[in-house]
Amino acid sequence: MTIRLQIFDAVLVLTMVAIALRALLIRDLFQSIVLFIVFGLTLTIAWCRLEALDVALAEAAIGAGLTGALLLNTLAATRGREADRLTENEPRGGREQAVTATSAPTGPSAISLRPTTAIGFVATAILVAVPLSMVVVPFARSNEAPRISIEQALPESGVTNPVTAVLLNFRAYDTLLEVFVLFAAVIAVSPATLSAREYPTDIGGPVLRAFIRFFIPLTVLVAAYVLWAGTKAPGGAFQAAAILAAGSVLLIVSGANPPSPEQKRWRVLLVSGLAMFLLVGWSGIVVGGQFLEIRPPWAGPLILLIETVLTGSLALILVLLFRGTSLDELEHVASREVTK
Amino acid sequence: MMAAQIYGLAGALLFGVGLSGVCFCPHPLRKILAVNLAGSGVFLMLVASARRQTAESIDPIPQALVLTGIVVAVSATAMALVLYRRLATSAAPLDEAERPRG
Repeated sequence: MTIRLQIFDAVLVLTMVAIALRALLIRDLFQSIVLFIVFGLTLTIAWCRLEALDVALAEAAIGAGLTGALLLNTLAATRGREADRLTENEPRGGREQAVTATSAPTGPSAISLRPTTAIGFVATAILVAVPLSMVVVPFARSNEAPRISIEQALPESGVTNPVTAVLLNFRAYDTLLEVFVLFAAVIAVSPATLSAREYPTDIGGPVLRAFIRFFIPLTVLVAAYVLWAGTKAPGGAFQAAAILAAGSVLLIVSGANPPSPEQKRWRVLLVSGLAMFLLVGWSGIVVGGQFLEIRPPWAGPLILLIETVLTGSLALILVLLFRGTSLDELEHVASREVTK
Repeated sequence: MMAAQIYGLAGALLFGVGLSGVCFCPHPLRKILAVNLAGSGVFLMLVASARRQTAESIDPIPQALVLTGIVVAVSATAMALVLYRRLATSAAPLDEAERPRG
């Protein structure tokens, strides 16, 4: 059994590295992004093999799903426009001139680097990877137990899933600051969406719309379950939010009106997660402890409260990030500035 | 070799490949993609280090860190993509010096 699993691991790892290399070297950018999405899915299997199911849930929805959607959005918006200004994916002054993406050749000649650059690519990869693996491999083999044991403190956290306990109790500062980072990203992306035009409403087609009618309720149900299960099994606010966001992105793609940060109700939802987090944090001081100190018997309900509000907030943040890369008014802004 | 070592090795390889991509791939979109690949390599190494040979249970701290990392990575990617889009679609032509070299 173990030898079979080892063979499986080896094949999976080789597949992952091969897909990563191909995604970087293939000439066509569209294929490159699709390969990146496939890479995310293989990485999800790797997380399952490493028994990191919380990470697997987030990777499948965010790493593979949402990041892929962001990349495809940007590619669709910039393709063709940039060709005369930026070098496309083939080397400038190479043998072939401006191979369009649709007619990209396949096979070994489809590599997007010049031979000299390719040597640099391989050399850098090896020079970085070899010393790194010399550190990582012995470390993964070491018998040393982790210096901090979560298990002893777990009953005090209010939840039984150790990852949720770390995220929302023991290292709640990390998570709070992470929400701030997301906020900063949304604010940075949002000025582009202020003068948003409406989406064209007929992009989806009948098949996508019928699929969505069945799929969206399921998304909400799964997200709610993942959120609820997060206290005792893999799952939690981030995974649930990612699933909700993926469903919302599907809705937007099929013609639904995307949320806009200008509308009050969306703004309220946007800040609610952070507000609730801070409120619970301050309540720790009021009770006589420290900021973000959450103790039983209230720890369980408080964590669930933060997570529930955070789920809606995070889902909206992720959708707004998607929207920020998918709108046309960036060009409006840019051209307006130039005509001034 | 046990699973943690195999995946730790894969993480090191992916980080190397991703870093090479950042340095040598000319197209900005591909550079952003390469940063994500390198990030995945870091995540793999972290989670692999959480899974030691003798430890009965798995250390949840690196897993929680990686979960945080994935979310931060997607927000950084969105930001980078919007900047790239601004660069690619701006009406003003780029100077020759600013062009990414092929």
